[in-house]
Amino acid sequence: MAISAEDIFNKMIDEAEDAFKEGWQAVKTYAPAEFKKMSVQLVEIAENVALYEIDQTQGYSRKTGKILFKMQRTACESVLVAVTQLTLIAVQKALNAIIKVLRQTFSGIISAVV
Amino acid sequence: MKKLLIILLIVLSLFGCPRIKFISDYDEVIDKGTTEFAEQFNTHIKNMGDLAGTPEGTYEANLKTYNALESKLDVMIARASSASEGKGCKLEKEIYDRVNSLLKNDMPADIKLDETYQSGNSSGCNERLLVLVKTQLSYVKKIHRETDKCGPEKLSCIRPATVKTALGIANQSINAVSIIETAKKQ
Repeated sequence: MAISAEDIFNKMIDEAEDAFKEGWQAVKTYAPAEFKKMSVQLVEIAENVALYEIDQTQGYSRKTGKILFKMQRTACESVLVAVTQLTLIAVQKALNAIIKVLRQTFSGIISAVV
Repeated sequence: MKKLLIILLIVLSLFGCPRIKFISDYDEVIDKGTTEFAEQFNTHIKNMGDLAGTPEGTYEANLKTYNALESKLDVMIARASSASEGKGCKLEKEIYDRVNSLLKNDMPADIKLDETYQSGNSSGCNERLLVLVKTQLSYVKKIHRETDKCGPEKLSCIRPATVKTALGIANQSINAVSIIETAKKQ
């Protein structure tokens, strides 16, 4: 059985790329969307506090604004943890795809030799 | 011949090697539990916006709902905690350093990241994400109980403007749990 290093390499790259692309796409879509939300919400907090100071029937108080800011900080932490996890999921999928290729490629040789 | 043997040994070891695992397995209980929590939480906060300024919209009148929401989270946190063996969440060092350097310059000192991020394991991150959702719930409770006041009687409430911002922010933390479970499932 002839083994071409290039064939194995190409298979590994294809499998890893497919597996990683899907996972990486999730990170690429998720992270910017969440950071955009954060920026919009921070502006919203400032605007509502300003509104309240002009008219107390509108917006919300500075005290509420401070708590909402803390909530945004907590949400930022959630997003960072999620991005780390999504990256690990992508790497895990890519590595398992490579191992699968190696197993498939060498299973014929092993059964012939062993 | 010697090279062939070495290659065979490596390949044989691959056959015995289990799948590489950096993250905990998909957990249907946490996935479904988070979706249910999201529905109940969103409904409750929207109702509070509609009831703002009435006796039905006060913090005291809704204490039972908060307790139910909190209990739901506690059950999921306990489940995630037992899976992670209490080791905590490990944020990758590069991300930790980057975030740390960014926050250190631009944010107040108390915002520094928790030291547990430097140790622990990735499965502890599930627990951390759920704890962060619980933190969001406690902030919303605080707003309802202490800072938002409505009507001439200054009743405790969640003001309609607060509803919009608070839901947007809290849902980011809730979605972080869901997106990870969904990615694990695929």
